[in-house]
Amino acid sequence: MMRSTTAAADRLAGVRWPLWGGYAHLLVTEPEVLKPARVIVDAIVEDVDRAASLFRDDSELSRLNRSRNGSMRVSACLYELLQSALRAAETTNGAVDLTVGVAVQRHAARAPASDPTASSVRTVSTVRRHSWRALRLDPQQRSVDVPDGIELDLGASAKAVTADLAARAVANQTGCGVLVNLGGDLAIAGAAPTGGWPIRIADDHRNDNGPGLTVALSTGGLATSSTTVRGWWSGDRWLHHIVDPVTGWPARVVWRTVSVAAGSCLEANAAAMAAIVMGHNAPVWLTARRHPSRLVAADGSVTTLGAWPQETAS
Amino acid sequence: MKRANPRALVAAREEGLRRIRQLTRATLVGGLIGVGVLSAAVAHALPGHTAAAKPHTNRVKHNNPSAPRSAQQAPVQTYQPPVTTSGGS
Repeated sequence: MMRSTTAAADRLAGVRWPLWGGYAHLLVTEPEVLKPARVIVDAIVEDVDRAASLFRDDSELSRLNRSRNGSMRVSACLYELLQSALRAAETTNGAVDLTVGVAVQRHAARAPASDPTASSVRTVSTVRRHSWRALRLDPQQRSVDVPDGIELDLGASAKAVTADLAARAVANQTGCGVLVNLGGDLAIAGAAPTGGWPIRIADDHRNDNGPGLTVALSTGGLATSSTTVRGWWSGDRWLHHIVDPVTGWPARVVWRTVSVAAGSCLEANAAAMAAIVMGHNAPVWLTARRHPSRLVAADGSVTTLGAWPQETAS
Repeated sequence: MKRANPRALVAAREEGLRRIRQLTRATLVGGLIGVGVLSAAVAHALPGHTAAAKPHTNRVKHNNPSAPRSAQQAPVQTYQPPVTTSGGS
């Protein structure tokens, strides 16, 4: 059972390490549990990596994408990740779609390998859209049936689910307050420090010292999606990594960065990514779901929605 | 014409009332037994499950920690130094 009290901010301890192309940041309210907490997080990260990494040929997801044998039995970890990804697709009406794996791979293959943000003349072909609705999960057999021609990419949701699982596990097993930040998407569990966890909001999660709003959060999850971090020029067009499932192309940049707070990191991550894809329709959708949100337009102007705090000069 | 004996008439009425009471009692007992037998038969044919009564709350139970939750706390602006950064990756 998690406590609802708060912990002294001056006892916070943290560790940060490179992970999945960005960094992971683990913070706890009791310094003495930092080491065991890191062990817990590492174990969950390794499970998810073995199940869903597309950068490993031996991952279950890589084998699933290569498989053309119809239904395939999967591990409990991958099954949960697939369920979560489908839930994200459902709640965002398909704006976040795990079946755009092919598009992501094709776009990524055309990005400069050495410097993905450098200017270069590249062409990207439009890919056929596949629907997440075609996937079939069988809870009895714990199997998944992927129709031929569809490849899955759990990158967006898997990272968020990992943060949720890790934060919950650390809080339950150590009894302390914890914040797990995986590439800018973070989950909170246990007793928060007094006043909440102070979190900088920025375009890039690696930017610890640049300008940015700071907010405090005590529970749930917070995620930020941005078109500014991973991308490349194709002629005069900026291509980023957030693909619109309708077109198979990187989403048109109406909002360069969107931050969303929600009950879990998965929910926040899905909403933030969906908002980038939805463009002008995002504010109405976010407001209907009562997500506290902060949207930064391509020109830098800021829109806050729901209970997200109005920004005042410090 | 011979007149009926009033005592005999009263006795006949009492006997009739006694029979009616017996019949009513037998009908009630039979009915109760029938209802019991029928209930047992239906319960056996259509088994259900037992659920412990719980106090009603507005909290939603989630088996999956990543499942959407109805309640979400909003962030508040703070001037404390940040301990981590949320941003794109």
